[in-house]
Amino acid sequence: MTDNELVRECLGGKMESYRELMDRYRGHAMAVAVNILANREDAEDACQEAFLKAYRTLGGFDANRSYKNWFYALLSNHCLDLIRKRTRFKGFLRRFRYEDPEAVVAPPPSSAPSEELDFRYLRPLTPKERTALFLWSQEGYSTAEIASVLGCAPNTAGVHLYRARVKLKTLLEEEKNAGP
Amino acid sequence: MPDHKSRIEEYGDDLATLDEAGRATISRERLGGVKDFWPGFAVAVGKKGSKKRVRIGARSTLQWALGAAGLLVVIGVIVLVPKLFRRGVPTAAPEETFVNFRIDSIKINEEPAQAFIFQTQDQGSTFVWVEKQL
Repeated sequence: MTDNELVRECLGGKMESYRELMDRYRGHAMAVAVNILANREDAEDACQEAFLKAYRTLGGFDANRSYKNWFYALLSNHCLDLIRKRTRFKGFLRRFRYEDPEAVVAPPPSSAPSEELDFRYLRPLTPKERTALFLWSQEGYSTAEIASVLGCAPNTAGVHLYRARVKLKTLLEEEKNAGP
Repeated sequence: MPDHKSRIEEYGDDLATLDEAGRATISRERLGGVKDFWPGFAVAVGKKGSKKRVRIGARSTLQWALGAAGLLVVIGVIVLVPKLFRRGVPTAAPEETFVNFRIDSIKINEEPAQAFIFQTQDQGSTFVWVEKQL
């Protein structure tokens, strides 16, 4: 059964169809979110919320579009919103004249110490650069498809991807020059 | 321009290849087991009801504004109450001026909000950051 058929069934009130969609895309969703947020626990929270958001806005889904791209766009927007929210919170703390908000903020109670994934190449990139790099390298997306997920013009998506590739190359070169 | 550049071989050395990008990003395979989001979803849908109850637009903005105002009041109380208490009891020992406060729950628009408590390393200041549950 195709994604769009499942969406149609879900809109008809069959919850099991949405469960099928969630099962189909939870791995994809986690990969997208983890690459944008560069943190596994935050990515899990983001996916949980994005699946709920997608369910609530399913009525607005255009059946001529790909569900995967539509969901990716919703999820990446949600992740970028979370990053913006976090940045605003850091700005709020800075107003209290703390030099480094990271140093004074205790981690949220839910976060567990699981940093087995290697984010050292992703963290120096901006969230949009990470999204573009991930979609290009892991999903084989073209700049036009990346643009539809990021909600920008294809040229802008091309710029994000270009910058990501330049930054990554520089990091790899630096690492190579530094030796083992 | 960048897209054009990426197609020209002489600039290729400055750009990470598809293979390098593949190794730098996190693939589905590297993630391993992924959490099942269905139980959390079912609980959220069960609690908040059907799609018809979703509120959007200006009313939602007003709710956020009210939530933010509530948050400022909470922060004000947390920051000011210990100071006032200390002023009122100048001779008390530090142990006696310690103020215990407890927040059982915070609601935004009559629904439980997500609360994070941050403690700073200096002077015992505490921030309560509240977000509306999505």
